[in-house]
Amino acid sequence: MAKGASKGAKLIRVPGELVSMLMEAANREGRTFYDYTVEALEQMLKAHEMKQSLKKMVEFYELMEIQRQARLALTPMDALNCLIARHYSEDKEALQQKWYESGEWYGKYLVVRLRDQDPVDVFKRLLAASRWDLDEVSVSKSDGAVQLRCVSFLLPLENTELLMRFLEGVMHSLGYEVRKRECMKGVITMEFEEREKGKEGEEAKAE
Amino acid sequence: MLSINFRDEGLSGIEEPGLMVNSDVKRKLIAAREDLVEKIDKMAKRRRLSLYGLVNELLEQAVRVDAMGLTLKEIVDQHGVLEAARKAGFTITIESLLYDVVERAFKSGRRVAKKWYETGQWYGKYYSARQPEDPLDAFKKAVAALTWNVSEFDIADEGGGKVTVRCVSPRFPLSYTELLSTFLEGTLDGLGYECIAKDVFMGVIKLTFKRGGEGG
Repeated sequence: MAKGASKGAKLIRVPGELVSMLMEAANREGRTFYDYTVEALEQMLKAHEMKQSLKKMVEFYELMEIQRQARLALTPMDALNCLIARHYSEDKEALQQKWYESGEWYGKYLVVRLRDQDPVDVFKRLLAASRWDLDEVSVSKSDGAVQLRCVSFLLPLENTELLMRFLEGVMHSLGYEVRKRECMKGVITMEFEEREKGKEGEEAKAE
Repeated sequence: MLSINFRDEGLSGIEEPGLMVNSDVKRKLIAAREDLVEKIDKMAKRRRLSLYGLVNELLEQAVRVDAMGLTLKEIVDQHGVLEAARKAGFTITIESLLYDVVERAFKSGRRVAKKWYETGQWYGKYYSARQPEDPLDAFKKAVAALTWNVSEFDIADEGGGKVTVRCVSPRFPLSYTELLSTFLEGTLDGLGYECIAKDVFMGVIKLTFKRGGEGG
């Protein structure tokens, strides 16, 4: 930090290139550069009080925008779980099919939406950021195979099974077939293998 | 207020201890409020970063957010709203799947409304406990998260202890509209308001309350 500014202000060093970009941004908003900088510093401190970095907050916002545009809704967890529990035993197959189809749609949405990013990687980050009922999400990729594991201390068995079908649908749309899957209350372990490109084309023709 | 608040420093500026100097990077000095700079400086020390490094990170994010057509304040506020929703026990689900299970419940005539009403009551009491001086205001703020997929949502204090809740979303099927209305009734009851008028149509909710319900 350098001294030399007016009373009540301090000078800080920043890259010149960023200053030019921020000047443009401040001008667009019709604000002084000083006000713009002060607000940025205030927000950084606010983020710090919330025990988060601004970078992580921006990344979180981007992920939640993907979710919002995919028409995801916020709902009280207890109320949703009650609805599922009441119907699952009778409509198990129909609900699982519905969750699978929804996953397939969501996977296709990700492929279209994320043109220059790895959809499997982003999907992992989306799960971790927005599935608040999951305590652990792990996705590892190697040689065309993907291993996926979700752990939750809250998720009832029926929701776990539905989530597994949803994940299967998503991964199918991302070009993967299930090789192995295990599911118990709150725990999902799945292994996928990448579909051959030729096979994918045949499937598309058949559709 | 400073009229000119940055200046070229070239390569001769004072560097932070331990900072690698890249002679290709042209640095500038910008002015900011002293109290803020001191707090940021302390924060940098706690994170074992140089002030230059931390401010650099901040400005990079400001530029990134500006490219998204937003401000850092909007990002931080939105984060706060969603974090509050997470802590309050909300979950994020595919809208069509939510409507599907609600529709099944509606068609089968099962009594899920009671559960949604009770869940609403719980939230009403939760907000009363979190902000006892003005629980309705706490709920208003939290509702921003609930209304993510809603085109219009408004809670208006009409004076004389009367409150009106309006919600409009063309996407809501009737079954979900009714269940959400029940949830809101429960919440306002938990906040101490009694429902005195109710208009619910597909995608439209208008509820009028007066103070003096369960929580009042």
